[in-house]
Amino acid sequence: MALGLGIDTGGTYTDAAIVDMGSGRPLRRAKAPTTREDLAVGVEGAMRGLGPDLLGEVSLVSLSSTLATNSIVEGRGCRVGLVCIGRAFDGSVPVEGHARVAGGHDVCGNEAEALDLGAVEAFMEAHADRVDCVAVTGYMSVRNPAHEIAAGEIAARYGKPVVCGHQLSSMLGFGERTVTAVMNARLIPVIRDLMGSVERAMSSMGIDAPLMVVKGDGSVMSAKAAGERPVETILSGPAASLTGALALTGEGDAIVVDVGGTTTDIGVLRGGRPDLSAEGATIGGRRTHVMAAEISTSGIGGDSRISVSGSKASLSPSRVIPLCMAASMWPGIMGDLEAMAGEARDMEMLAASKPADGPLPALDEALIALLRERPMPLRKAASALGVHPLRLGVDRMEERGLIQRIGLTPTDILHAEGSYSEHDARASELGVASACRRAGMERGEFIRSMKEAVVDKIAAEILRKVILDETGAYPADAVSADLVRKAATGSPGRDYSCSIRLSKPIVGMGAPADAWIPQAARRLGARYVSSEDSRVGNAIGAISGCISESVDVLIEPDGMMSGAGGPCTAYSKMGRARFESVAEAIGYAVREGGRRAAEAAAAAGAESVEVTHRVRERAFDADGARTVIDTTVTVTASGKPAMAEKAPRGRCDP
Amino acid sequence: MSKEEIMDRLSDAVVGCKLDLAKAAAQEALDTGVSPIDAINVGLVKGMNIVGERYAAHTVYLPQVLVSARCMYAALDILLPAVPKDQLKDAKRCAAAVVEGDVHDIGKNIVKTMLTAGGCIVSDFGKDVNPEKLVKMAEEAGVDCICLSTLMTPTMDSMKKTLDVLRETGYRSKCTVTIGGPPTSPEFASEIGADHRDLNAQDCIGWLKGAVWHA
Repeated sequence: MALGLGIDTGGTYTDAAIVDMGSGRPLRRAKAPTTREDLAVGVEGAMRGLGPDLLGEVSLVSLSSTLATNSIVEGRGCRVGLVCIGRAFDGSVPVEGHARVAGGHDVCGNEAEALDLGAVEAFMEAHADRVDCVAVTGYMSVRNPAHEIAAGEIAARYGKPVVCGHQLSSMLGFGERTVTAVMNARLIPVIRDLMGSVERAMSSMGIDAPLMVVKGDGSVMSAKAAGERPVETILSGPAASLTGALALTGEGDAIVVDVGGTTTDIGVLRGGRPDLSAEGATIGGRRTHVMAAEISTSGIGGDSRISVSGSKASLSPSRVIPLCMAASMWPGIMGDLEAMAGEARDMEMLAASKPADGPLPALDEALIALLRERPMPLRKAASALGVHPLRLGVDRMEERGLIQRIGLTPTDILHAEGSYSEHDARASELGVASACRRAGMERGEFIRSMKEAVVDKIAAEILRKVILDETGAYPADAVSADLVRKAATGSPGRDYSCSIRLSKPIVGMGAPADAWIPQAARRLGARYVSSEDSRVGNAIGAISGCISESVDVLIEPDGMMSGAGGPCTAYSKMGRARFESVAEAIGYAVREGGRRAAEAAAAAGAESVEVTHRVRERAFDADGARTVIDTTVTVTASGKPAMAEKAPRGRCDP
Repeated sequence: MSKEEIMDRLSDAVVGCKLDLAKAAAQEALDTGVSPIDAINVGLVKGMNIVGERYAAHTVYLPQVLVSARCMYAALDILLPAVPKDQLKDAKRCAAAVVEGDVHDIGKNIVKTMLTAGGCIVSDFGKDVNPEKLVKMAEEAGVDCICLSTLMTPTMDSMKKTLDVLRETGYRSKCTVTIGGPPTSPEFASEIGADHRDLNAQDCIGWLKGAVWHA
């Protein structure tokens, strides 16, 4: 029996699971808090939790990590020098130094201007000591990469890793390609460090197996390949959730709803693959050319804040630490919670969260110091500091993420109801009792109405996702908005009601999924599927991913109206090539693209690689005749990751 | 002379193809303190719209439209410099061009006229325009919309290439693109990534105002 170890570093917890690679079932699972400062610590903790006996038998390890995503969002990474050929850099991502050098091609891949190799050299002379990596991007390099390659060769002489735009993207869009190349360069040392620490942790625990990393499209690549193309690992968490859903339920066409602690992510599986965003993923507000799963994220999660104002209880998008979770983390707060039971305000406390990144006013400093000992209700903290509660700029500090509120949440509702029991349910009980009293509601009714509010929101988010995917728009006019609202809430109007039936099942992922999603699925006429192992779904998704590397070849006829299938030009990362016929060009794309893709797949750690191709034509009717605008051949090489010890396994559908 | 009478004279001069009368009416509007914006929007544009509708209804011939347009431009030359700058800041900037390889610019000229009549500030990029040069001009002019025209079938290639250059430069996300001309079709527009195929000049400005600018 071959064993695989899947690891997922989530926002809160790092999950690990040992999976029987034959059946895909998890044999062992463990979790440890995610350590943001050094993810390897949490990864090691989660691995230790699995117990020592099976670790030695693990023959493959795969990791899905938030590191790339977080590093970009937080602006971390190494110093990058950027060489732009034939077009200026718009400054949309931070770089240590950049230069625009003469060169570049036109839309047909003809040289528009000679490449100024001297300028590339001059840039490197001036910056080699100040940068860790170099990104090279050229105008129209997807139509002819010659200048990027030549400039890259010069940059490489200075001993720094070099990233060229055409290696990462075949799509038009100089700006996005440049952002992608710069992000990739920035991430190289960051991801290599993580790979190094994880590999050290593995060997200290006696795991002798290749390490794979999940990509944003749900496939995986070797640690070595990830060290060269780290940007492709962005958004790998949600992608792992989708492949995990497939591995656990076998549903290849489904809407996957992953209810996490802080957000709910909705993605779609089509034909056994995550549905990807066609234009490339957006990360940290910047559009890239990274192919990643198209995920819609909404703020409804287990830690949404429930508050009672007047006698009305409502669910707000702001997030707080659930009472039950806080009571598990700081058992000492139970006394305070009990003392607050009779008060006429929301049962909430404050906790210190992250250290400030700069100097703070003395009063803020004092409050944080106080809260760092243990969380406190606002009034108690204010009286300890001898000031009026309003003097403490709590909202402002909350906004900056310095302190965090503790309060009643959907997670508490589930604990009070008894349907979920991860944390201290007594704290949830107190919160629910206080809210019921103030809202003038009976306990059962309160729990029911709050659950209903969460289900309404989740159903609305599912509809929003499928409607946006299908139409590119979300109803803004009164009639459509009313119909969608009626369908999401399932509540009739005065004279009519509306229901929308999904045409595929809903798969629930994440620990609390079973508490919320079945009702939402029923409302939308969809079959609900889940697995008892879905709480480690991402870790299972990580270990069940295949390796998949593609090469796109664009074939453009010399004149679209000058007769079908005649002379044409093929553009790809392999360069520009001329052919006498489209058939000949397709043959070249399949042969050479296949060789290139297979090499990439092998380098990414695949064994028994299988190559397939897909031909797509863009065409239109001209006077009754089908006229081809261009043809794109996508050649894909897929395979299972090679394992330390070979064992019979299923094949990978390319 | 009342304001209404001046407006009617502007409109009539355009409809009647009277160049001198159009210029005189424009000058008179300024001399009598009529707002130049009103003179354009209520007088000239009304006249040009009448001509445009008649052309679309096949009740006038193309040369009449072109002569009317000349009258409108002559009056605009007098009125536009008098418009306070801040009143023009909300006007949409459009470009009209015939793509590379084609020199048939009548359609483009009608589009330009109707866009002008529709209150847009129009840059005429001319005919047989190289894709790279076209996009460079669009970037420099900062246009909100590019209207591409071709009469001939072989030059449809250039439309696609122009869209490709727009994507590579990133300007595609900053502007609306419409295409027109006999060989084009809505299907072709959608395949090459244009926003709309204009049936004619009226359709072009009508679609832009209705579907894009919600004017």
